[in-house]
Amino acid sequence: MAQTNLLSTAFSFIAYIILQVVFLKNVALFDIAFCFVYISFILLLPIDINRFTLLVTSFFVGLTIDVFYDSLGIHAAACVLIAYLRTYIINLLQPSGGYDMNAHPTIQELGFQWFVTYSFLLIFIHHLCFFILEASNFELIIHSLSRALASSLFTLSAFIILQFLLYFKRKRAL
Amino acid sequence: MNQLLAFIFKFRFFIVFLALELICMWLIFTQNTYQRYAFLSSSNALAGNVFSVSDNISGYFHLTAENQTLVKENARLRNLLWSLSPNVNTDSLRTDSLEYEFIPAKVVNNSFLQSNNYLTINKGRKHGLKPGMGVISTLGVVGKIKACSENFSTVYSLLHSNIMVSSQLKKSKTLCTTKWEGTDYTEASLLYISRHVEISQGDTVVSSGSNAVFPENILIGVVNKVDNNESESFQNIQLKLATDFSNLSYVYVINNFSRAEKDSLESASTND
Repeated sequence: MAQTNLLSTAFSFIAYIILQVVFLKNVALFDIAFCFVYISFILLLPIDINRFTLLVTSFFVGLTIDVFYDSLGIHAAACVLIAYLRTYIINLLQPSGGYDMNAHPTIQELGFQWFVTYSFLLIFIHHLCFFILEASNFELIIHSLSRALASSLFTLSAFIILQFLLYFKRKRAL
Repeated sequence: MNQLLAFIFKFRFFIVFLALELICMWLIFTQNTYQRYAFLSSSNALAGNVFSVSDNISGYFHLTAENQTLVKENARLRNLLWSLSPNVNTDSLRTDSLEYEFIPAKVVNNSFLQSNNYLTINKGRKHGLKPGMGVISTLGVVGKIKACSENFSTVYSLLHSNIMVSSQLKKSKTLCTTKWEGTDYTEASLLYISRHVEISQGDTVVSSGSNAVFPENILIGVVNKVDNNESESFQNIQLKLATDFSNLSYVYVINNFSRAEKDSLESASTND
């Protein structure tokens, strides 16, 4: 069981990297909204995952993206930040009955409203961190903020579409 | 001691988090100064191959535009050849053709919307490329090589905060510097033009050839906006870039044969 889990996680890791690097690298709506859909890999890891594993995995996800984007360290820094904050945000948004064992943070398991709040918060933190580090210039702060906000909305829409495409179909098939 | 261990245990995740963030910061702040991280850039074998496969597929969609650029370039070169041919043999002082070698390369990956942009091209050390060489397209200046692997190279785009191109005004030969401001990929600004220099909209800016990266007279852009403010010592000048960074497929890498000589001479004279 654990082995198939690991295998499917590794597969989705590669799938997200290829999706991001090959198809979404130069996609930008109105030149300001970027789509960093690969972070859904980090956001969709199981809720009770070991925090240490979560941090290290996120670091390597970020680093891999950095290699393709030539932005060494920037994506990794933003990913490690959301991996750290993810636990607190999950606790903050805990429903009254608590989470089920082995729950995944998806629309299917925790509802649309919960998912949108959870992912928007983390996406926005990631994008803010990313764009500020990327510009590394406080004269461009308005530029970075507008990019972060526009990109968050774009990424969130892509997230929700992916969720409906991938996970709901699988449920019906089973 | 126990208390210390308990403290570390309590904050173990925070410590891991902090350690990873420190590694990231270290990577961010050293990546432009050290060449040894070349394997962590898009010119490494894996990234280069992924990009060249996806470029092989998407390349077909730009064929028409690409053909048009090549036809224009052909026409321009043909004109140049006609105007030169009478004195090609007599002008024995022309050494440009010996001084520089142009190595063609294909752009397999290109970014132009980030705050620091890079390209990946499909030529590397095997083809004689070295970090620091200039890169131009048929339209104008593109950038400078950052790192090379065996078969691929990463190029600093002109749209990068570390890149400054030594330039001159074509009509008056006034030296200046071109630098990208970090927002619009079609514009750059021209620095260090004193207020007494006459400059007007539509003036051509070309490379100066003073730093051995680019030959002289490679087009950089056309002056778009001039703001001669009395209170500042230099004019604020906006430049429309000649190269269309959103659509780059073929570029030329410039190998300057006299570069090593020029560099060593200059470093020797600065040491004195």
